[in-house]
Amino acid sequence: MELEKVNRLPMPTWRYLKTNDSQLPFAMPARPAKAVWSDASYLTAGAALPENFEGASPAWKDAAASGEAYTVRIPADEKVLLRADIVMDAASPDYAGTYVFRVEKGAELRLVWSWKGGGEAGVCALAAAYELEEGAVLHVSAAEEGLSGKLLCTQRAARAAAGARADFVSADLGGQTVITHSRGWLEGKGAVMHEYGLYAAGGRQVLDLFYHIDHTGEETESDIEVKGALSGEAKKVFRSTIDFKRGCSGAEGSEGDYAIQLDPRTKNISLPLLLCTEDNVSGNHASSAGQIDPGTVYYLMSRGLTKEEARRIVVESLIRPLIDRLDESLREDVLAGVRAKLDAEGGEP
Amino acid sequence: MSELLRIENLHVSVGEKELLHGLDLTVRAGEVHVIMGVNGAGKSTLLHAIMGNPAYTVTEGRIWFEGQDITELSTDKRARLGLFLSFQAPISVAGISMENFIRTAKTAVSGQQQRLFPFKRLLKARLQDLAMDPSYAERYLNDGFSGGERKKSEILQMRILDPKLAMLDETDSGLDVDAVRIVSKNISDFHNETNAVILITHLNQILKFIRPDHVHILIGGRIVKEGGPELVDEVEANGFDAYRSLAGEA
Repeated sequence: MELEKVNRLPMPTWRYLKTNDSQLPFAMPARPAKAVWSDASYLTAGAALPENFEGASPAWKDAAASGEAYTVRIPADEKVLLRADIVMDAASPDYAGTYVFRVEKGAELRLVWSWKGGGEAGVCALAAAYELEEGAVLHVSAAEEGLSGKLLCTQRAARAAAGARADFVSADLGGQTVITHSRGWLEGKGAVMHEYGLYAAGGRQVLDLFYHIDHTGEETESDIEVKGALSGEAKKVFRSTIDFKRGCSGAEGSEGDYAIQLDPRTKNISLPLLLCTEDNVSGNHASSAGQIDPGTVYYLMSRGLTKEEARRIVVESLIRPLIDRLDESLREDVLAGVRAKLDAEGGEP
Repeated sequence: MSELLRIENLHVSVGEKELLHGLDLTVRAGEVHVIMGVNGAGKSTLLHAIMGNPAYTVTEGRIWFEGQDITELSTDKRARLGLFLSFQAPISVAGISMENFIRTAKTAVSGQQQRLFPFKRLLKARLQDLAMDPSYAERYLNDGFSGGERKKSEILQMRILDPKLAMLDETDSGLDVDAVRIVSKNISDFHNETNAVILITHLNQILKFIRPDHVHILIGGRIVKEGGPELVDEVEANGFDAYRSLAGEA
C-alpha cells in the first residue's frame, strides 16, 4: 500500500521531531458501499466543496470525490434529524463520499453518521463541508466500530456565521488506521464550535487526529477535547490548533488531549497549538498522558471491584462525559464497543 | 465474641523503609478499637496493610480475618470478605455517579445483584441519615466535593456496603462540629454485636459519641501501650511524650 503525508501542522515545528505531518497508508476506494439516509428528501445530487477545503491531503480529497456526492439543504428555521448508515461489508468494503451541508438561518440539523462493517480490508474516504448561516445549529454525532481492517479518513470543514453553533462528537473504536481532519472558521460574532473526540484503540491501531479552528469573529468560542485509552501497541497523534485572528476580540478557545496508556508499548503524541494575533482573547491548552493512577485502582478495589473492573471504570469515567454528548441512538452501542475493546485488550500489560 | 481480625508480628515496608516493626492486634466482633499516635507513627500504614494496599509490603508476620489468612489476598477479595477502609483522603472519579458506583460496589461485596428501586430507596435513606442532599446520588464520585463531603461520602459507602470490619482513617478530620455529630451517629448506628470498628483519630470530639473498648497508642511503628477508654483522657492530658520513651524515641 502506498504512503501519503497527511494532517500537516499549520505552523511546522522542528523537522527532527518528525511531528509536522504523518506518513500513513493510502488507497483509493474500489468497491464503495452506499450511504442509507433516514430522509433523502433533503438531499440533491452533486456537491461542490469550497475552494479552501483542505482535507487530510489532496489525494484523500480526491478519494472522497471519487464516490457519491450530495448537497443537503436545511431550510431556514426548520429542525431536522438525519441519519446516515454506512455498512462496509465483504461485498462493498469501501466508501467514498463528498457532501455539502447548508444549514440556513435559524435552522437546526442533528446529524448522525454510523459506520459499521466487518474486519475485512477496506477504505473509507469522506469529505463534508458544513456551512452555517446566522443562528443555525448543527450537532453531528459520528461513531464507527467493528472496522478492524479498514483505513478510515474523515475530512470536514465548518464555517459558522454570527450566532451559529456547531458541535461535532466522534467515537473511534475501529479502523486499523483512522485519519481525522477537521477545520473550522468562526466568522460571525458569537459563533461557537465544539469538537469532542473519544476513542479506544488497541492492537496496532493508528489514530491520526487533526483539528484546526480559526477565530475571526468577535466573542466566538471554541472547545476541542479528545479523550481515550490506548492499549497493545496502539499509536495516537493529536494535532490541534486554535488560531485567534486579528479582530476576534473577546474570543475564547480551549483545546485538550487526555490519554490513558494501558500498555507501556503504546505511543501518544500530543501537539496542542495556540496561535494569536489579537490581544483581547482567552486561550487554554492542555495535554495529559499516562498510565492509570494505581491509587485510584486501589481505592476502587477497596470497594470490592476486581483490578480489571477498576481499570475499566477509570477508562469509562474518562470518556463517559463525551459518550453522553453523542446522539442518544449511538450511546449504548458505543459504550458496549468501548467495553468490548477493553475486555479484549484487558489484563496487565 | 468471635474473633474477626488477628495480626501477629506484622512488619510492613514501603520500598526499603520499614514502617511497622512487629505489631500484634486482635479485634473481636462487637468491639470498637481506637488507635492514637503522633503523625507518622504508622497508623494509616497499619490500616492500608490490613486492606492490602500494594504500595505496602508485608515483610514478616500474618493477618487473619475470621480465621482465614489474608496476608497475600488482593484488596478486592479482602473487601468481599467484609473489610472496609474509609480513606483519609478519598479519591475522586469524574465520570461515574455516586449511585452507580455504590450500587456496583454493593453488588461486588454482597455477591447479589442490587435491584434498582430498592437500592435507590436505601441510598436515599442513608443520604438523609448523613444530612446530604439526594442530588449527591447523581454527582460524580467525590468529584468537586469539599473535604467534609468526601468524609461523609466514605461513611455513606460504609453504611451501604455494611462491612464486618470498618476501618476509619481520621474520618473526623475536616468536619465541623455538626458534621462530627452526624458522622458519629452514623458510625454508632452502623456498629453492632456482629461487626467491629477500628478508628484512627487525633481528636476527642468523635470519642464523645463513640465509646471505645480498646485504645492503642502507636509510636514509631510499634504499639507501645494499650488500655481502655481511660487512655484517651491520659493522652488528652499529657500528650504523647510519655510514650515516646516506650518506643525508644527521645
